Amino acid sequence: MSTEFGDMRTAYGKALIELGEQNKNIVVLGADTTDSLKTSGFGKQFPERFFNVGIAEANLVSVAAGLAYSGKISFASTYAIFLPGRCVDQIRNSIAYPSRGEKKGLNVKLVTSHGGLSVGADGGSHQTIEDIAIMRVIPNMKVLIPADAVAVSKLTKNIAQTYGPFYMRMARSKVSTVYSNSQEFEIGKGITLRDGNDCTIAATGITVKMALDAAEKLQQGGISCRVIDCFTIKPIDKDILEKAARETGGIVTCEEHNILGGFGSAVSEVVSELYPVPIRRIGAQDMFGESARDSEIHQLFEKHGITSINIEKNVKDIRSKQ
Amino acid sequence: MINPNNLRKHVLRMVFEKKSGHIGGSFSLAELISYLYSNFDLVSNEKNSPKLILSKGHSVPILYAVLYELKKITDHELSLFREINSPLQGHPDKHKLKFLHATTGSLGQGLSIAIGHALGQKIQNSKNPIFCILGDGEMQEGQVWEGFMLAPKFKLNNLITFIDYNGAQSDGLVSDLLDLEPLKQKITSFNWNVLSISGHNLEEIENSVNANINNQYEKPTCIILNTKKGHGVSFMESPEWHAKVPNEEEYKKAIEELSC
Amino acid sequence: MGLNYYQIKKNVLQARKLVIRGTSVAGSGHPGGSFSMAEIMGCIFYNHLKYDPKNPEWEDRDKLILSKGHASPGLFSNMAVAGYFEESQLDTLRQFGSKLQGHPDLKCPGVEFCGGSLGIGLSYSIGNALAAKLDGKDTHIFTVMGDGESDEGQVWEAAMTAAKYNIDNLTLILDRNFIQQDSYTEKIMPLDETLEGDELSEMWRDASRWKTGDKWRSFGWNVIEVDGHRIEQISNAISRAKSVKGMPSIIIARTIKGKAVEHMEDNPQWHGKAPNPELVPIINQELDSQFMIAPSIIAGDMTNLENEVKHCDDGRADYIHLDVMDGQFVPNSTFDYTKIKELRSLTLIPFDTHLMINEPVKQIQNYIDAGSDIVTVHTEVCDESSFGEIHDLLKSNKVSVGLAINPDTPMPEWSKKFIPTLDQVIVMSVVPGKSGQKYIENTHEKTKNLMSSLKENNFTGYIEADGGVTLDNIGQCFADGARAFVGGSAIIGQTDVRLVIREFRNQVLRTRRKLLIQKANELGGTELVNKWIDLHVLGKKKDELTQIATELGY
Repeated sequence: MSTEFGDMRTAYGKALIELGEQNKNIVVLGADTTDSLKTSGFGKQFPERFFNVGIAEANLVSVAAGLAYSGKISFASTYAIFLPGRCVDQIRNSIAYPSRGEKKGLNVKLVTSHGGLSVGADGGSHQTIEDIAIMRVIPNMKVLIPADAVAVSKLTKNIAQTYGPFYMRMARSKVSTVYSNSQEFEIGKGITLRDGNDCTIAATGITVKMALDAAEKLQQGGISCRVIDCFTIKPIDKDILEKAARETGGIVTCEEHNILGGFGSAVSEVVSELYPVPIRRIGAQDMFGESARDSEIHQLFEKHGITSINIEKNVKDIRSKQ
Repeated sequence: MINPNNLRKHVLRMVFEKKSGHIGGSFSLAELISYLYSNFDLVSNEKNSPKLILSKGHSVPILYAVLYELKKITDHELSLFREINSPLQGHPDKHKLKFLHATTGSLGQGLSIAIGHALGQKIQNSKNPIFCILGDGEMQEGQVWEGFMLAPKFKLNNLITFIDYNGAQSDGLVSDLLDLEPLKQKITSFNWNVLSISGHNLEEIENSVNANINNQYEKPTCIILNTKKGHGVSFMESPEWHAKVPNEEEYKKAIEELSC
Repeated sequence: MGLNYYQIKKNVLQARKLVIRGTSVAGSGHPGGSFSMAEIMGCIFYNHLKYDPKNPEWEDRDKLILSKGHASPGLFSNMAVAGYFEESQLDTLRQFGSKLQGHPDLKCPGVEFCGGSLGIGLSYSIGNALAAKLDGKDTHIFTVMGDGESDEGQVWEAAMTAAKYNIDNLTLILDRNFIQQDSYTEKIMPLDETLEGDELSEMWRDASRWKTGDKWRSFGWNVIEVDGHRIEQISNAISRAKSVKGMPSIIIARTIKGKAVEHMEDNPQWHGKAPNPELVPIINQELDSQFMIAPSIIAGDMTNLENEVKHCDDGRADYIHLDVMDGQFVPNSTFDYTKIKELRSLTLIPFDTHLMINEPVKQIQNYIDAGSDIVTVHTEVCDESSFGEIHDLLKSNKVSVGLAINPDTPMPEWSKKFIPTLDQVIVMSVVPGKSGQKYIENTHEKTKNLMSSLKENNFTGYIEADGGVTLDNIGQCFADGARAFVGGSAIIGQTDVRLVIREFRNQVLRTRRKLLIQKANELGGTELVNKWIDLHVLGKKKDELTQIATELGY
């Protein structure tokens, strides 16, 4: 596995510019975090299609909706805490709800950074651990959490071509590269990164790398783990999860989000209906984050048990009960 | 009277040591914070004591600086700024540090919180003031205007709201991003008592606060502080110092300037 | 689309009736806020908005965004009148499976915005306006917002944004009805000034206390303030707003919640309550009883008609009645179209031009060009062919068409074919020619009979009573069926025109209240009469109604 790092926001900004060149209907909106989200590059290249509305997120969401209603493909971005966190009503009522005929919701892509605990030093006020839960329960909304910069780049283009509302969450910090540039991503289809039959580790976002590390360690101890990147949380890949349950007998889920209502909950819902097997959910332990410098983020993760060591422990725990 | 430049030095130390934090918006508040903490008991945190709500939470280093200057937090605690398990969080957290009166960081919420406090004081028949500090960029949040609309309804003349009008926000100049002008007219049209003063002149700050606390018109007061982001250190007076961290040379030069 | 004054008025009336129909069948909904914006919607729909009801997705259409989504009946009713769907669709309002949802929804073709969550519509409109600019289209966005809604911070975020992007292809209309769900806006969240224990009506009268406009001006908007129930003011304001480039425009329309139904007017209870189906016929009769006061300026100082126009303006007349006499059809002569042209710029009040001239067909274009809103000609000097020409010319120029008959003239046989499209019939109750004559008593009988025969011939216009109308007989004229009243020396000759006009209105209202009680009694006896009276909870209305009922012996 590669140990390269990539910056999700940079990948997002670059992808937007490429999209902007190909399609003049792409418009990009920001709320005073456009340098941070790396969307300002699009603004320099296409100033007439770039709207920085200031620190006014509710307005950001509904302006994006209006543009989309008039035929534009709107990308609206800021930190996760300010979109699902602050504007759930506007997202629900001005983006997801309006539907006409086959067109379910308006064509707005909400792409955020600073999702999860890895925000670090800014502290608990900025560490969003609720966004997946919030967005997942809104009808017509699709939810993606890419694992690395390659996934961000590919998925940005993918959602631009797929009609409807999307929520895509990125992390603030640089993340380990998981994918080669030739990897393809299909919405609704998880990706098996490693095969195995003793247990499954299903992960999202930056925890995918942890899952791979854990699987490697477990392999050394003779436990063969399957690792699935469930970057597509909604629609979730039921087939891949059912198959994993059937073939490996247990699933450990990982996410940088509250274990309540998030990815782990989504997997539990699917598996308990289709093929119940033991599940362990790794994620924020229903408590808020706090400041941690970049060098300390691993400590913050440890506090919540979001580590490859804890994944290993949970895999072993499941196997001991099988 | 607390020396504002001492506060600036403490801010610099924190940000320099931890390589993160917001200098620009902390510096623009140094005089105001010096004045307020020199003249009001903002550390005792009793039910009816005066309160300060720092709505622009990212400027919290200036609060840590004044608490350090007043010896409410130790040298060791100051060194924990932005660290894990620290009382000195990246944004103010009143549960982790008892001298703070509000947990903020998500912009636009502080005025509403301050209104709650001001109503509370009124209910207790306390004359103690509630201070709220808003950023200028933050004025773009609709919730701020919900607060501006509400406070006059309750005749909150015990509420003094400062706007740190330093003209710069994350992405650039406020006037380019979403201009607030004519700011004074805007707030006047929301039925507030409005003043516009220099935010770096202690005398003007003192006079305007004294003249308007518990005023007879029974109106909340808004004091627009015309400030400079990064004020106090010549080369930091520019929008780029919103969240920039100084290198060693810059740090030394800045401390030197502040010691003159 | 552009309709003449009377046609807009009639459509507004029809839309109001549909609101009552829809909400009473549904058993819930928001008539109050639908009625406060009724004239606003009428002006947008029938005078300014570019749309095609048969092709709702038409690329070059304008967009109407109802931000105050709870007033959806006020939108749907106009969509029905405009031809998007059958009026009977209103019976499905708020029902399971209906495209007429409780709040406007894209499910209904022609609806442009899913309203309901307040404070969103302006931001959404800005998005649409920006998109139109990007596409180089001349699409105009009309956004109707509520006043309670402007408590929402998002509205002010949007206000700043519109100013930043110089959005001038959007006209925002604020339905300033002073009432939100819980109570009066100034009690819940003051937009003007905190109420200091005095009556809301005090604030209404004192423009110096209106701060709403200051707010929008300080946010960088072009602000136009109007009476939101005056079609001519709203329509003019929209034209002005559209002509201002480089900045966004807001029209602050001062309105009355529940306008046009007395018991709903200015009553917070009717924010979101449906009328009782039993009472619908009475409400409909009330809606049909809108009336207009039209002072005739020739009763004043003929050497200074400008000043008389100003009196009418100050007195809030509904029309200004202009008696044009040529010295041939009648012995006197007054003025002609050149004078009308001069007066036109002095007021927005509709000009009700009454041509007492020979061969009007030759002159009609001049009176259109002079700025008449309604032109009435005499049957005595027309025949089928010449009136046909007049009729078509007026209609094609968006001017309302009237036909006048002298005291001893019946409606001629040839007029029958025009009756369904006639906007106004003037029944002369004096011999035309000069001001100050006494009302000819048998005109009451004549008007009554005429009204029923006109109705039989599908007349949808208004009868105007002209000649000798005074405070003493105006009530009876109303009961006869007249809805517009020309007041000569009884109004214009008086020192306080505003006061006199108010007294004229009160006199008509008294008669109207009586007729409505009679209607209630006819439909459901004392029980319904009591129900009707009990609805009138504000002020002293209830006492007055009780007294009327007692006088009637109910």
